[in-house]
Amino acid sequence: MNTPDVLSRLQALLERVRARSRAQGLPRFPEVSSGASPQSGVDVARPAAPAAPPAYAGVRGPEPASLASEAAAVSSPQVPVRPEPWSQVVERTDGGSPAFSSSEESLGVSTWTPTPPAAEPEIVVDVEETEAVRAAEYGVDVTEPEARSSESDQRLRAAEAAAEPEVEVAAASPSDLAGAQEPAPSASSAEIEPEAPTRAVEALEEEERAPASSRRPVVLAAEDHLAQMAFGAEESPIPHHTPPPESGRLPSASVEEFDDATGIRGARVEETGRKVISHLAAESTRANLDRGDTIVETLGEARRFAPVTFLELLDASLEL
Amino acid sequence: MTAPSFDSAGAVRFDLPRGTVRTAAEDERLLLVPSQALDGLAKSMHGGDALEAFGRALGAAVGRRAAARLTNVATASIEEFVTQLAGEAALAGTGLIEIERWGRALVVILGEPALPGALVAPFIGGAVQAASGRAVQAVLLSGDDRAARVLITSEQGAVRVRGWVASGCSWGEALARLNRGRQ
Repeated sequence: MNTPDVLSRLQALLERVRARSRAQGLPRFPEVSSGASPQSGVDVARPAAPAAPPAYAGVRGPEPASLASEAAAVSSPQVPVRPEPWSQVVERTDGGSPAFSSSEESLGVSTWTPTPPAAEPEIVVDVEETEAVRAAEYGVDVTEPEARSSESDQRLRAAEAAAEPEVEVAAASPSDLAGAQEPAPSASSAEIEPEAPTRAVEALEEEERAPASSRRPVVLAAEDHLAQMAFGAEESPIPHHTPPPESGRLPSASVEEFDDATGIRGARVEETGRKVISHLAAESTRANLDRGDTIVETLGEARRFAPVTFLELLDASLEL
Repeated sequence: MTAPSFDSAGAVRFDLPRGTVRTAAEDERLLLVPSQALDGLAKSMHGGDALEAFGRALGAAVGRRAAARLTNVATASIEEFVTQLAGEAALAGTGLIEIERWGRALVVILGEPALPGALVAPFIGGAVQAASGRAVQAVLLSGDDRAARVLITSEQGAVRVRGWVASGCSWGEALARLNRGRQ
């Protein structure tokens, strides 16, 4: 199955859904109210308020607060909501418009019919919504980050090939498309189709103008960032082996490190880039020794040469 | 203890009829010789062993007479020994003897020497040797008309001191070196 066929089928499905909603008076995206109770129709899961992921900022689901805001936000990028109820609806039909009431009764499925809106909303067909519905119809959980990232990448590629008339489905795979049981595309889908590439390009451009926080650099920049995270801004990788210290006398500490008279010095820390160099200071302990006048004990006196006789003196002189 | 004294009474006898001069102790004949005659003799002999011998003989006579006056030379004190030696030298007319102790070195001073310089050292050496009975060497350290200083030492000491003095060392430094060699 080629892409045009897929697109045509999706267009047809979209039209059927819209027609159904008009017939039942249902809002395209029903409001979430505490007092509402399921009455009829398919078990439609309430579209919860989407937590807009940054990777999928290009398309956002509609705000469930009011249909008016939904209409105003149609042209702006929105995140699609969980598409499970629509897929269930599609599977139950055997072709043609599904009859909800009869099928529900036969299947014993509890339904819930939201309160009809005050005014019929004016739905404007937009390629962004079209893509969101397509993704929802084929069971793709657009809230998954992996899917959104892959879709954003695909949209980026699509933006590069803006000259092509076809718009690729972001998250839809050929297998999913093959499993879809859709009727033949209607004439309205054919009219929408030429506008799809242009709208797709615009959607991609709007995606590119997404907030700066959601932008992702190209692969090359990501690699640089990873390299920075791994190795630091301006550092080289830590070598496995450090060179041995040089032999010989080591340089002694500078004199200025020993100015403290108390002998107690604090450590100084310096930052050099990401390195923290700490200068270690020695803490010395000295003994306080007092002067001692009576340390030495002398015994006797040194022998003086004091000859008594002349011969002693003479002998001493002769011994020199 | 009384200071020692020298009894010079009857020490020299002039026998005018015989025309002799003799000592009283040993009856040894003496000759009164003018000192200038000894200076001429010393100059004519130009030093040497004969002059050395003549001077030592003069001193020996004095030393022997001093020793005769001592009771016991071995036990005689320095003052007693010097007193007797000085008396005899005075009677001989050679001069006045004094002693100095420079550490362990014995230095004899001859004041108002009547002997020429060449005869002083041998005279003192001879006297001390004769008086003590020890073989001594005498080295003239200094000398002029007022006094002459003589070192009494051994033969080895004498050689060393003569060498130092000849090299320009003062006699005081020589005595200091002599004492250091001993320590």
